[in-house]
Amino acid sequence: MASLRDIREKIRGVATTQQITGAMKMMSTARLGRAIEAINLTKAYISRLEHIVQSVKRELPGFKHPCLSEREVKNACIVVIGGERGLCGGFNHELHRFAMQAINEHPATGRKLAVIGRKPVRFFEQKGIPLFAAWPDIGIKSVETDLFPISASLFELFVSGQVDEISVIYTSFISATRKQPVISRLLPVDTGSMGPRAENQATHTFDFLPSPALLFDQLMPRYLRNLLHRAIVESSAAEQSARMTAMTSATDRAEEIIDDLKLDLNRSRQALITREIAEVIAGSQA
Amino acid sequence: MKKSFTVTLARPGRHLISFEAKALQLPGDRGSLGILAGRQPLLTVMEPGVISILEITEHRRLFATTGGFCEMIDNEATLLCDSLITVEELEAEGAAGEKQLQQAQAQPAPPATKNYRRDFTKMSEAEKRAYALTLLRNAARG
Repeated sequence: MASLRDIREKIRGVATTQQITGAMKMMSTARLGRAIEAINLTKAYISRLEHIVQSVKRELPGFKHPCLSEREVKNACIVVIGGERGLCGGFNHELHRFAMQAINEHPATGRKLAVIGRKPVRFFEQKGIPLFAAWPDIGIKSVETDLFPISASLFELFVSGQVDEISVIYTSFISATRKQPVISRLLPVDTGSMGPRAENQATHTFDFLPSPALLFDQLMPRYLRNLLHRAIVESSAAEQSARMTAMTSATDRAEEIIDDLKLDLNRSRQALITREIAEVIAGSQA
Repeated sequence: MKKSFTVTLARPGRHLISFEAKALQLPGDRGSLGILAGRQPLLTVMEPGVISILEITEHRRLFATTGGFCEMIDNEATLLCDSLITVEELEAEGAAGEKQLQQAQAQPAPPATKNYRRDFTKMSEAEKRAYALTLLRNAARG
């Protein structure tokens, strides 16, 4: 049986761990709130970009652009967006498993894999899977500035014909308790999946400055960048939500362990007292 | 005829800003572009430069942008900006902002193309921002 001192030390150790997990839970909660706000703001911006795409499509029904036309998919670029850190339950494992399955089942014969996030970069490197590009240090904080070169290089890959499709795999944030890894096509743009334009359904005669084709050349990299931005903030929100849940469980479990250890401590102390009393009585009788 | 129109400024990851405006001036694809209420629907690219909004209260608001798009439809202008900096934000940056501006002013102006238009295609985002900030400072000085 462990001594009283050992049990007290154990309790102290678990309490320290509980403080850390409690702090991490609070930080995750705060970060989750910020990430949810970022998702809503990004969605608002993207819906306005989609309005513009829809305006052009509606005003010019015969308008063709490489980013809008379907091609036979021989080569594809798959962007995997994953977590920055661990201690978030099965978040990273679930994404990696889904990504491996989605990549293996992708119909393209040539697949270029680009990875954003520290955890998936390490995962694919350990698996020995060659990466076309890796950006391990892109997080929600640096996303606004760091995404410019990334989206530009991906867009260049598509318009130069090196790939026929760009898809993204990330964890979609549905609610604080629901998140799901998904694969979604970025280019060519699927205008059918864009939300209906509730207002301004009437046709107008637009002035396009410059021409619609040139306008689209400038619009599409921004659209791609913002879709990636949304995927990154959603992934970040899902990660924080997973970490929050994991840390809540850890804090609760620590509480249970402390309760059990306190019970052991009291039992041991009581046994010690009983033994001492028994020894005193035995001594006095002798 | 309507005398004012709504101007909404949007930038990635930030709240929308809306104004009731009498006039709007933006750095269009072919130079500065003025927009008044009741304008025909328009879709245009914005280059790095200064957006000037004359509010219905006659108050003029200035913003620097590194580019974006403008959609004018049904008396509502939506400006989708890659980035947006106000004069207040510029001043709030204080000494750091001043240093940034000095660096910006030391940068050469972007080269002009054959059409006498600035060529922003080869500029990095930081260079575009520096260029837009210089214009904003000049515009704010009046």
